Amino acid sequence: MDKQLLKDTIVTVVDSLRAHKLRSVLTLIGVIIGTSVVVMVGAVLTGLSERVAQISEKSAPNVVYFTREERIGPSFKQPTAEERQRKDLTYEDALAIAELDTPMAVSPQKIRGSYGPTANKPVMTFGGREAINPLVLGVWENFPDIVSVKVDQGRFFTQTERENRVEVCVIGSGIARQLFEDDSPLGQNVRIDGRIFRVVGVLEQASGEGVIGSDDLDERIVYAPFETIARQYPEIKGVAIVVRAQAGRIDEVTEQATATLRIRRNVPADAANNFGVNRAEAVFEIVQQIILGLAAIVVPIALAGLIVGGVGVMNIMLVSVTERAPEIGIRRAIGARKRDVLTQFLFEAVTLTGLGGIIGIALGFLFAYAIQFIVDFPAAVPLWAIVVGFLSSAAVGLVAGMWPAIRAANLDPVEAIRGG
Amino acid sequence: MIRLEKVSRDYGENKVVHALDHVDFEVSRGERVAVMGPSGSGKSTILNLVCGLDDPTAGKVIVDGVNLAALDDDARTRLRREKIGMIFQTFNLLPTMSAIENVSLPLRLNGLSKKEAELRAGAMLERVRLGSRLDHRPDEVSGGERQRIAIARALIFSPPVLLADEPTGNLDSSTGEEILALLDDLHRELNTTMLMVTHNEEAAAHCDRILRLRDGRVVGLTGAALPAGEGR
Ligand SMILES: Nc1ncnc2c1ncn2[C@@H]1O[C@H](COP(=O)(O)OP(=O)(O)OP(=O)(O)O)[C@@H](O)[C@H]1O
Ligand SMILES: [Mg+2]
Repeated sequence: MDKQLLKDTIVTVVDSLRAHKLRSVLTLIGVIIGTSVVVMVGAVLTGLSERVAQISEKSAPNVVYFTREERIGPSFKQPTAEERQRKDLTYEDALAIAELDTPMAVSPQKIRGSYGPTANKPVMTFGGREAINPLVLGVWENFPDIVSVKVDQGRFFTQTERENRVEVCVIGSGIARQLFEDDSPLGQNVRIDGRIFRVVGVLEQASGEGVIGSDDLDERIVYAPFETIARQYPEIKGVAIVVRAQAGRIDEVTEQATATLRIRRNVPADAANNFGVNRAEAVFEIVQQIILGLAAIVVPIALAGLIVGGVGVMNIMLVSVTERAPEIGIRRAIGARKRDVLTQFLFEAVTLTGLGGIIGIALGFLFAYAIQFIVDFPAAVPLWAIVVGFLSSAAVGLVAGMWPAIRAANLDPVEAIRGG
Repeated sequence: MIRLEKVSRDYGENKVVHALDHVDFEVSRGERVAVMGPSGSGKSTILNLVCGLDDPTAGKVIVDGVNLAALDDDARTRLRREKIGMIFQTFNLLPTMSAIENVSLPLRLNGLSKKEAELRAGAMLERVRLGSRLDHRPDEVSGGERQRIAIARALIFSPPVLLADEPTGNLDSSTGEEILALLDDLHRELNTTMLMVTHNEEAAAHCDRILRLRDGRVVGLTGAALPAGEGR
């Protein structure tokens, strides 16, 4: 088939599609959905891995969190009965781990507030203003050595302040904005659940982001001395223990600290941990779960779309073969071989679905840009999604068009001319 | 050039119709033969067999020395494309294509570029005096003009054999005369072998011989019904 003939065929195809506009569009919808879903999934996956890269860059890879529950951070699951019956991790557990020689730094962490949205949040005010959903963390003064804490104005609190249970705090930039707008928070007295704390530092504006949407976690954090918080909230029994290892020694540190906790908590040798061991990879696990969940929903949709589209295309092509039987007969009579007719109809089917593919890809792009701007997610359409989307749409045309095309090619010319 | 040997063509399973029944005849190169007979006597069937669109139930169809039964579909298609021009009873133009596209289609199917094909198709349409209707579609021209487009398409390869199924059947007598004159010209120029189905004695008079059919049988193969120049 020379190029001219190819171009000509496309023109013919587009013409004959235009003749059945509505029907073509209807059958195309399946293909469009299938292709656009492929592109959308590609865009979301790209966004997720981009986001994970951003997070892991900022979340220290040499840090391990020990918690009562299996997971820290927002959880998609209710805690199990076993989890709810667990003993709290204690301050003494933290001290025991701090005694070990492998960790570089250790801090207990007492949490008032929640990583996720919660009804039971601390009330933090200044003047008439109230901070939105603050997350108060009671930690030791060495906390900035453990995870990256960037103080923009002022300073972190000191060992003396902690030991003397001084009511000082370092606040996230979001809270600073909410309570002080453009004024300097340094030296000001804020109220946290009724008690007065002096602001000694303000954190840098968070540059990183959560997995989905810009995460405000860093923005709404309030660091205060552990002992101060422990005294203020005696009802909060448990702690989390944050451990930092030297580069490359995280496995060793995790192992030792885990062993220490198992002994202290009397875990039998053959039983599972009755506490959570959370490393930065946990983020990846969560992301993986999200991806798998997404795929479970979306892949069947894409497949169904393509199959529905394929059936529609086969239908439209069969009708077209019947309707155009005289044309086919005439072509055969004046010199078109069976295979010319076959390629013509296959080509039409592929053009039809390919068109749907192109529209679907365009929709996918639109979707990617939309979520990029609306929920601030770094979605981007990867090349493989375009290639896979287009090829699968074309393949649907090829498969769905095969039978009608074979039928067209095998029509008896004399009868076809007479009208099928 | 064309030879039918004891050709039969039956249709149907239970109530068999003998469209053709032991038909024997031969047309030599450059000869023009009119095929006449009442409706349903098998005229169109003969043309379909000669161009290889249809297969005989029995007997042999030989064109240019080749038994068509020995040719596969591709070879027959090539034969139709290059050696046999076919003018159908019902024009059989593609309704969505312009005159020039219809006429260039056989060339395009043979792999010619659009430009070259349309150059030649344009020249052929000029010859049938349709130079001013190149871009009109079949439904935008008169019946006679449609017939001439069909003729131009049939002749685009200057085929040695021309099969014409009532080329004047749908036309008024003066337009019919025009078409017949055109075919005369072509015959004179290219020495085309012609098989022309017609109901019209005057049209038959343009041919060298007349093959008369009735109920699928040859009932006569004669010289011209009227000697040329007489009776007109
Ligand atoms: N596909 C078919 N199935 C059954 N019978 C057929 C078929 N095609 C043609 N016939 C029969 O074969 C006979 C010859 O048909 P043909 O078309 O050759 O006639 P014709 O001489 O061309 O007639 P007309 O002058 O009306 O065009 C007719 O009786 C017709 O009914
Ligand atoms: Mg007929």
